[in-house]
Amino acid sequence: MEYFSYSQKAFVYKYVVMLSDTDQFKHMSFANYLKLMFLASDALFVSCFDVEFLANNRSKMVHSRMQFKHQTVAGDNIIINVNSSEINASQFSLLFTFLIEGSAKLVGLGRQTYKFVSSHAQKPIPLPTRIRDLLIPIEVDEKNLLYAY
Amino acid sequence: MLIEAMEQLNPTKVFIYDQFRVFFKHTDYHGFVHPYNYFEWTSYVREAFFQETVPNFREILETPIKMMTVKISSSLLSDSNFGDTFEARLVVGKIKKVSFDMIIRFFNLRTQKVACETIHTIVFVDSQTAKFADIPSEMKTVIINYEE
Repeated sequence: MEYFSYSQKAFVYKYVVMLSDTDQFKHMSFANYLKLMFLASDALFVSCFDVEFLANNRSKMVHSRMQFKHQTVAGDNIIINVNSSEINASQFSLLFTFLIEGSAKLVGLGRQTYKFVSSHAQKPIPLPTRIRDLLIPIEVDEKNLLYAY
Repeated sequence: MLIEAMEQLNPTKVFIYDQFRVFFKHTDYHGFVHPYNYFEWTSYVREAFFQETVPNFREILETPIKMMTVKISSSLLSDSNFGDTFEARLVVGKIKKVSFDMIIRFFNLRTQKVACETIHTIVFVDSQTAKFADIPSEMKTVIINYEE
């Protein structure tokens, strides 16, 4: 029998649920979790997004999905672990694991698929090197993960 | 012939909500509608649907039976820009005992294309027992007419 240890690197984004995120049912409304996915992916890529880069490249979301497992209330600290998967020549996916800090209770699982297009012609282009360099260190094989995103 | 006759007898209704116009705040760095907006608009469409079609929806909200979104997906199909207007077309799918899907297609009236499709699954839970609950009958009576 073979044993192995597996250390998974992830980009981590933290968010504290504010009263303004919650609705009359006292929970964070579902659209706000989707907003957090965009905040986390922007935080991952922000170091690449200078004016020159953005003048030529546009990241375009193709598909997104999320499953909700546990509701959060104002004051909860949410940790969002971001990993990448299925990186190919022109597109990639990001996997988001939402946890409550401290209890590690699973809040939700998200997934976004992006491609890059040229800002001018809006035609698909190869993944820019600097984006690929950010994705590779946090890449995972989804077949080996505990959750299905 | 038989199918056509059945469709005429029981056509699927589509709920249409046409109050969406793209303002600057909805656009991204490159001048296109940011995909987040479709998620936010999805919540508006479903709530408008229930308010307009379920006569006692406010009363249902006061009961221990709560409606929860358990999953959502979206597919971005075409770009939209400042000033565009949308018609959100809602139908229902996979009606089960305690859950159903709401499918919303955002039709861009300028480009005449579907810009985005969202599908979200709603489940009902009894907040007092923390167990799944049947879809309230007043809602089920309505949604079956919109099943795709």
